[in-house]
Parts: sequence; structure tokens; C-alpha cells
Amino acid sequence: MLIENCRVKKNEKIIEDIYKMEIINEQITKLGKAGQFLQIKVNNQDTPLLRRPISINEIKIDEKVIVIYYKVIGKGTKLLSEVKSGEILNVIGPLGTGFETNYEEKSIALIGGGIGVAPLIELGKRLSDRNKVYSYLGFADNTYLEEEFKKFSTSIGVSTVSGRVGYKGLVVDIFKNELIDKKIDLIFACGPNPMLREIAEIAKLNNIECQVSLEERMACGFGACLGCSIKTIHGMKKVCSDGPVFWSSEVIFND
Amino acid sequence: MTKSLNTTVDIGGLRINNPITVASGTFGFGREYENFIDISKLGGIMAKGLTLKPREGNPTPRIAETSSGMLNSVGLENPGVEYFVKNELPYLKSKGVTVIANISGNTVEEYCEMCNILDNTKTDAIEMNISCPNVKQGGVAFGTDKDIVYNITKEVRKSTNKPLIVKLSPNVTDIREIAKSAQKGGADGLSLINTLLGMAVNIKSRRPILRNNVGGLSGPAIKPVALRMVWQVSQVVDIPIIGMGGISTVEDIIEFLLVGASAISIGTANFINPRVTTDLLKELEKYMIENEIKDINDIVGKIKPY
Ligand SMILES: Cc1cc2nc3c(=O)[nH]c(=O)nc-3n(C[C@H](O)[C@H](O)[C@H](O)COP(=O)(O)OP(=O)(O)OC[C@H]3O[C@@H](n4cnc5c(N)ncnc54)[C@H](O)[C@@H]3O)c2cc1C
Ligand SMILES: Cc1cc2nc3c(=O)[nH]c(=O)nc-3n(C[C@H](O)[C@H](O)[C@H](O)COP(=O)(O)O)c2cc1C
Ligand code: FES
Repeated sequence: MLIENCRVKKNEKIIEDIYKMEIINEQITKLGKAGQFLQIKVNNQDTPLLRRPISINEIKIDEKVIVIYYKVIGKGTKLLSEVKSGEILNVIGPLGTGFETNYEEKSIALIGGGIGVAPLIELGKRLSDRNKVYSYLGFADNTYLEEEFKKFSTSIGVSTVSGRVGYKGLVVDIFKNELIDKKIDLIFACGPNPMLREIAEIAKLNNIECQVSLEERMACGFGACLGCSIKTIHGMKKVCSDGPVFWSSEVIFND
Repeated sequence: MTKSLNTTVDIGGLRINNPITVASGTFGFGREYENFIDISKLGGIMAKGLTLKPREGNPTPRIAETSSGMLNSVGLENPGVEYFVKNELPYLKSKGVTVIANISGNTVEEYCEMCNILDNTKTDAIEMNISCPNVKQGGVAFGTDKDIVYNITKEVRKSTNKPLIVKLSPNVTDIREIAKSAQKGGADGLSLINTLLGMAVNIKSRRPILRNNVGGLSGPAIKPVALRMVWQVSQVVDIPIIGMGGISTVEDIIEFLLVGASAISIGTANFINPRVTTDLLKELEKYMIENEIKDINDIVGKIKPY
């Protein structure tokens, strides 16, 4: 875990309210794993006070670059979107445990909802060397990052709630229809909690191992404040330091 | 610390190497910060608030950010006092850390039992958090009634030989009355302030952001309230005060010392910069040299009020 002042290489809008930022830091690219995250201070002021947790979405080792994708939803991410190339951001990372990726010859489903698709890129890149990766990407209206997923996926399913692109409805429905045909034996999922809860149920019913990346509001991000504790079958666990990735069978989902 | 400087302070019979401690609930049991700093450099660690039995705390969301502050409704999640004594305290002591155990109870008996357990350990002092609801008195916080504060302090005083620091809640009408009662009951020192009860609202969902509806406000937003309370209390008691509430710079520390705190705790600022404590320790030393302050105790209470 490092506290680093990192130079921003690029910060650009990719669509509507979704941004891509490249951050330069050799140490973090060396240590970082798929599913881990950064705690970013978006400015040097008291407001916003807290850091913002953003996943490590892609690592480009040779360029010493960490790629993050983020959606502007409030004050912090708005300020982040206004950062210019060349500016410095204070970052703590890599944080959390990340995805377990030591698999081979598996049929793997990556299921992402909304901005939750982003953390699956680095994961898919790493898994696709030795496994078959099927990607399922769900969006509200506009879609993004499909091209990145095409690079390593055997197939891609896309859904939008509005019906603008792909299947009209929820991504979980596409996945449900394909999981038997594709002989899925491992699931990785990231997205809103209701989606993860549903995927956890499907995984349980079909006896498929499933890792989910959870989100909670965080004050510290490194295990000190207990702001992010959730119930699991092994007692209380911290999303920031015991997770954010958990076996779906462990998690007791909130209503 | 540079030899010619004295930073040692007394917080109710416990001498600590420097006035910078960390606030309970913001520093876990110290381990999380070892990735960032040498925790033995701190004046002391107020450990995560303990209860007699383990507690799961409240459901999430437990955190809401506010202007220059944050609300938390962690709800005292902790592994219980026995676990602390067995698994956390020995580790901290092996690192040479000064450990102040922070305790919370629902009844006077619970506080006394925790003190009995801690009294036979290497805990350096006890910080009694009296912001919790008093089950026997129908859920009114112990810390809001001066007679209850006097009684509980008196009883707990009998259960421990360790320095006893009473941590005051700011959610009261007149903090001076509460502080005087704690002193009369036998407190060796006072910690103030705990968090201010607050609320944050999501107007889209028309729901509170915290699952618990309300929570405790901390961070820079509460500093003026904390300074005012430390200043008021320092005029009516003669036991040492540990000041806290929104401290994040060396200037903040000096302000608290000037209004009468003998030591300070850093809380929320640790979340934003986990190295803030040791950074500020260096800056404090620099400040002392630049301002020709040989002994940090020399500025305690030296505010010149109108
Ligand atoms: C481990 C983890 C990884 C994440 N990765 C990404 C990512 O790769 N891309 C991305 O766009 N978003 C990601 N998020 C969500 C992101 O942290 C929030 O969208 C962001 O903090 C919102 O900040 P804001 O100031 O714009 O919103 P505001 O609503 O103004 O924020 C107010 C407070 O609530 C917190 N908050 C609000 N929404 C969330 C949320 N969904 N999760 C956690 N905290 C929240 C903020 O951190 C802040 O403390 C991740 C969250 C977690 C926990
Ligand atoms: C997440 C969190 C948990 C806390 N838990 C405790 C606790 O267990 N016991 C206690 O006495 N105070 C607790 N506090 C209060 C702090 O110790 C401190 O009094 C308060 O936060 C003000 O200081 P600050 O503004 O520097 O954070 C907690 C505060 C926070 C933010
Ligand atoms: S965010 Fe502080 S413990 Fe997880």
C-alpha cells in the first residue's frame, strides 16, 4: 500500500458522463492486480473531504500507466473530470485483495453492470490467456468499452435498459439464457448490488463458483474506520481490505 | 524529538512522549497504519471503542460525506474487550505503543466489568466513552446528564487503578457542568469532543444517506465547536484535557493547546492522510524551534481571551 503523488497522463470523456483517466505510477502498476482499487484525493481541499474509491481498470506495465474509468455522479467525480493532463493527484493504492485469477481451461463469464464493467477489463485480459472468457455487459442507455472486451472475449452479450443497443432489458437475463450452452463454470461480476445479489442466486442454483466485487461507502479504504463492514457467513468483513472481491456464497446481501 | 525541546505531556497521571494521540475508532488497533507509519512514534493510541461483548455494529451505509466533514454510524463494531486483551494489546505493547483502551457500556456494571478486565493488563490508561445510550435510564446517553456522569465516574473510578479519562459528548446543553461532574467523580483527565449528532439526506430517494438515519459528525467542520468546548471546560476543571475534533494541521494543534488542551487526538484526518500524525509531529517540532518554544506545556492554555 503506497501513498503516491501521481501525474495524470490523460483524462478524457469517452461518452456522456463516463471518463477515462491514465495515471502514471511505476510502483502501483507493478503491485496492482485486477479487482484492486485506488483511493484518490480529487483536490487538496477540505471539500470534498474524503478520497474516492475507483477501481484499477487496466494496467499498462511498460507505460507505467494505470487506467481508470469513472462515471460522474457527484461532486468528487465531477472534480476528477476537470483534472488536466500533467496535474498531480494524490493516490493511495493498490488497495483491497483483488480477484482470484489462478485458473486454466475454464469457461468464464464476466458480468458487468454500468460502470461495473470497467474493473473486468484487466481481469479479462489476464484470464483470457488460459481460459475462455464470455463477457456480458449491461448498460442503462449508451454503451461503452465493448471494443476493449472484444479483444479478449470469445463472445459478448450487451444489453441496455432503454433498448438502444443490444438486448432490451437486464444483462443477467442474457447470461441466464446462455450459461448452460456455454458450460460456464466460473463467474466474475461487478455492478450494482441488486444485480450481484441475483447473480449470486443464479450461481448458487447452478452450483457455479462466483466472485463478486462489492461497493460500499468508504471513509478510509484501508481497514481502519469500519465504515464498509458487511455481513458474511464468516462474520463481519471489510469491503475495502477483506474485499472488495468476495465469493458470492460468503456474502449475506442487505435488502 | 530534538534534545533541547520538551514535548512530554501528562494526561492524568500518564506521561506520553508527545501530545499527538489518535482518536478512538479512527485508528483501529493500530495495525492498519503500520503500512504507512511507525506507530510507536505516537504519543498514544486510543484503541477502537470496546464493549463487554463483541458487536456487529449497524448496517451500511455507515458513512456519509458532508461539507468539510463526515458522518458515521459504525455503531461500535468491535470484537469485545476480552479479544482485545488477548489478541491486540500484547501486539501493540510489543511495539512499544502507549495504549489507551476506549470503553463503552450500556450499564454502569458493564463499564466496571470492563475496567476489572483491563486493570490486570498492560493497558496504559482507560478512556471512558459516555456517549452511549444508558439502557437502565431508558436510552438517554450517559454523557448528557451531570448526575449520571458523576455517579458513573465514581463507580468506574473504584474499578480501576489506571488513569481514567472520561470522554465527553458534545451533544449537551452545557458541557462545563458535565466536565465538572466527571472531575468530581474522580476522572484523571477528560477527552473532548466526541462526534456531533447529525444527518444527511438523499433528495432523490427521499431517504437518509445513513442506514441508521443519523450519525456522528467529525472532521474539520466540527473544529470550532470543539475549540469552544475545550476552552470552556479548561476554565472550570483542573485535570488535563485531550482536545480533538477536526484536527489536520499543526496550526490546529496549536489552537487546541492554546485554549487549554494538554494533548490532542487526531481522528478523521487519518483516513485522508494515514501519515498525518507523524507528519504533524515533525511539523510541531519545527514550529517549536521557529517560535522558540522549549517546552510544549508552556503554551497550554495561553490564549488571551477578550
Ligand atoms: C471498491 C470500489 C471501486 C469503485 N470503482 C469505481 C470505478 O472504477 N469507476 C466508477 O465510476 N466508480 C467506482 N466506484 C464508485 C465510486 O467510488 C463513486 O461513484 C464515487 O465515490 C462517487 O463520488 P462523488 O463525489 O462523485 O459522488 P457523491 O455522491 O457526491 O459522493 C458522496 C460520498 O458518497 C460516496 N459514494 C457515492 N456513491 C458511491 C458508490 N457507488 N460507492 C462507494 N461510495 C460512493 C463517495 O465516495 C463520497 O464519499 C467504486 C467504488 C468502490 C467502493
Ligand atoms: C468512524 C469513526 C468511529 C469512531 N468510533 C469511536 C469510538 O468507538 N469511541 C469513541 O469514543 N469515539 C469514536 N469516534 C469519535 C472520535 O474518536 C473523535 O472523538 C471524533 O471523530 C472527533 O475527532 P475528528 O474530527 O478528528 O475525527 C469515532 C469517530 C469516527 C469518525
Ligand atoms: S473504508 Fe474504512 S474500513 Fe473499509
